[in-house]
Amino acid sequence: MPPEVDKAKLFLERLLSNPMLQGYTPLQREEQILQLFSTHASQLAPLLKSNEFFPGKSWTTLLPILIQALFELTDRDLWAILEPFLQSDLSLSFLSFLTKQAVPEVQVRAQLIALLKDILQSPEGRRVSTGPLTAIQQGGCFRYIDEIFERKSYIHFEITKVQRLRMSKEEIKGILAVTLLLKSAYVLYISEGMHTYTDRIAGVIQGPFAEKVIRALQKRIPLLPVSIVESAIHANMSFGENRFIEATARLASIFASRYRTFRAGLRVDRGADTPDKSWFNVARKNYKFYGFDIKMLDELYMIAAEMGW
Amino acid sequence: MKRSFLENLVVGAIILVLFQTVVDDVAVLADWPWSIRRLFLYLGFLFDLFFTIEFLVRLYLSYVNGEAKTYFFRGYGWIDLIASIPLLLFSSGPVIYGLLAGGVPVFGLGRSLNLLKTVKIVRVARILRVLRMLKVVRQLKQTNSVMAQRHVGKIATSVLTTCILVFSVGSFLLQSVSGKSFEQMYWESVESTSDTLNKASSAELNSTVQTVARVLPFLLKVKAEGKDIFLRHDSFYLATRFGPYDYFYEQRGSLELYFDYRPLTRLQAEQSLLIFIIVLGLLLVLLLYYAPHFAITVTDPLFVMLKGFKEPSYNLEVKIPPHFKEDEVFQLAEQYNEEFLPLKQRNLSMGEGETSDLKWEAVSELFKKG
Repeated sequence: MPPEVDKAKLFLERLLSNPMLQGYTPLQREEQILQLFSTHASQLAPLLKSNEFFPGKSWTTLLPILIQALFELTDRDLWAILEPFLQSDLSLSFLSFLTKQAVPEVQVRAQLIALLKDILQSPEGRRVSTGPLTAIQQGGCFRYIDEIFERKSYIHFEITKVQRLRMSKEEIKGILAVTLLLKSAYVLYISEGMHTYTDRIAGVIQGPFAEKVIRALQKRIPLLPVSIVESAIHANMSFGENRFIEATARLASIFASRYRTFRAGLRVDRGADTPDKSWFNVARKNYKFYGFDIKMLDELYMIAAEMGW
Repeated sequence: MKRSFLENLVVGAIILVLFQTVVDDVAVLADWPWSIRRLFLYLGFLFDLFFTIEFLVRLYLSYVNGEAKTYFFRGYGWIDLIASIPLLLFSSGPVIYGLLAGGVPVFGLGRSLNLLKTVKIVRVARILRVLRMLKVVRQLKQTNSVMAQRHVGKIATSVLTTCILVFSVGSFLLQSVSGKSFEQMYWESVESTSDTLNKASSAELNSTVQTVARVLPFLLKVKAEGKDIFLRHDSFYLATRFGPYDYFYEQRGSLELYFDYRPLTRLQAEQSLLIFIIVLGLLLVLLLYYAPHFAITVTDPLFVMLKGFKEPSYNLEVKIPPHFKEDEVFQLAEQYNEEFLPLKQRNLSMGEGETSDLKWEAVSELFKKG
């Protein structure tokens, strides 16, 4: 490892420990730092060129070093949380419901970890994984499943009757988690430079491409039921353009978007509405733009409003 | 740090002096021993001296900085003035001077020194101390909004100052236009008693004094040719309960008369406590009821919208209370919620206007510290 990377890590550690980044997950923090590099390059470059930091290095030489160091630091923090989750906390009990046979969970977990590591190799993969992984890490989306099952309204109907996932809410939470984990897998099959910010709007991928990705992923993680892979990849499609998207895919799409900018422990200013309620209400206005299911948003908004989330 | 300590010292002193003023009045009404009441008088003087020095220092410093006018008119300097120098000159100053001079020169010489006016001015001027509450209001951070602070401060200043001035001026005016007040009756009784006893022959004097003393409870002591001929209380009681301004001395020929002045003082203490309670009540209503209402209906929604306009990642909606939704502020907030935030969110999704939550100022600090 070049000595500059270690030096860059020391500098980045101090940046990452800034109180303004508190409440963010490692990938969100990474995104914040990359944003800072992008907007303040002209100010950072001369300061980092000083003798104390990287004497004589130009910004174009320095930026890849900083990004490499940043990715390494993020991976360290990210996998410290993800590894235990994927190894044990993630419930895969839904597998037996879907396949009606015993599935070697250890192998499935290993395949998921390997796939996720591949996704996180590329900057694009890291960027599009921020929302889904934050949703899992913060865990806020799972409390909505509890409420959905409590209310037995539209979303519950869509999950249990339309998608025919007749299982307990714990199994549904597992399906949602795996759907979120695999949602970004499409980046492994796109050509470079194809996507810019499109993961945040409707119709990221179209049907034929989605089918290609699903087929490829089936080979990559053959132990995982195809319905789960379909749900994960369909979570990148617009509900406005495809009314047959699975309920879990629609939910994952909403939660990945919601948690992209989620910040834990955010103080709600007096006079402001709660974060989830605000977000779902704004999303209701933009549902066509993002390709969300408006009825799901309505229900999630009601839950957030009633629960004070 | 130093400034903060001094400001806290001033607020502490204001709270203490208000407490002192109330306890002083309670002490008069409850007829506390003179030794305790004297202590409160000294305390009152020290506080008035402290606030006079504070005002002069603030005025001087603001003058040196070329901000004297701003301090006096916009920085509530006029309240600092009204609640300091007049009190020292007309309230605690004369009281302490009287005490240090042995009491008699100022308070015991009766109407020749216009006792009535002096004591009245002393009591009325004390009410100005209540104005110091406004200084505490200024220090209170009931909201984070500068606008809310100013509005509540303006209302509190207007209401309290009007209340105190109306009471002060009104009490003088009412006495001049009203019929027989308790005070007038008091002085008429003093006058007629003095005349009656002065006209009584030597043989009848004792029995006349006894008769008058029975109907006039504030006749304390009568001396004729240097000898006590009537004493309502024993000397221990007089020494422990009476201060120099608790009695009134009148001389008619060889006759010396002492009257209990405390009934009038009690009346003034009652009025003083009443105005204090009214002002305190108004202040509490303004701070605990009006200020939060102002914040909820005006400054809080404005604050949320301003933050939403300024910070790209801030996406909280304004909470619109249903019963205020017709207010112009909340109509604006509805537009912000329904139009601006969704548009902002869409722009951010397209990568427009994205910025880091890390402020450059905080980042540049890292380089300063090395």
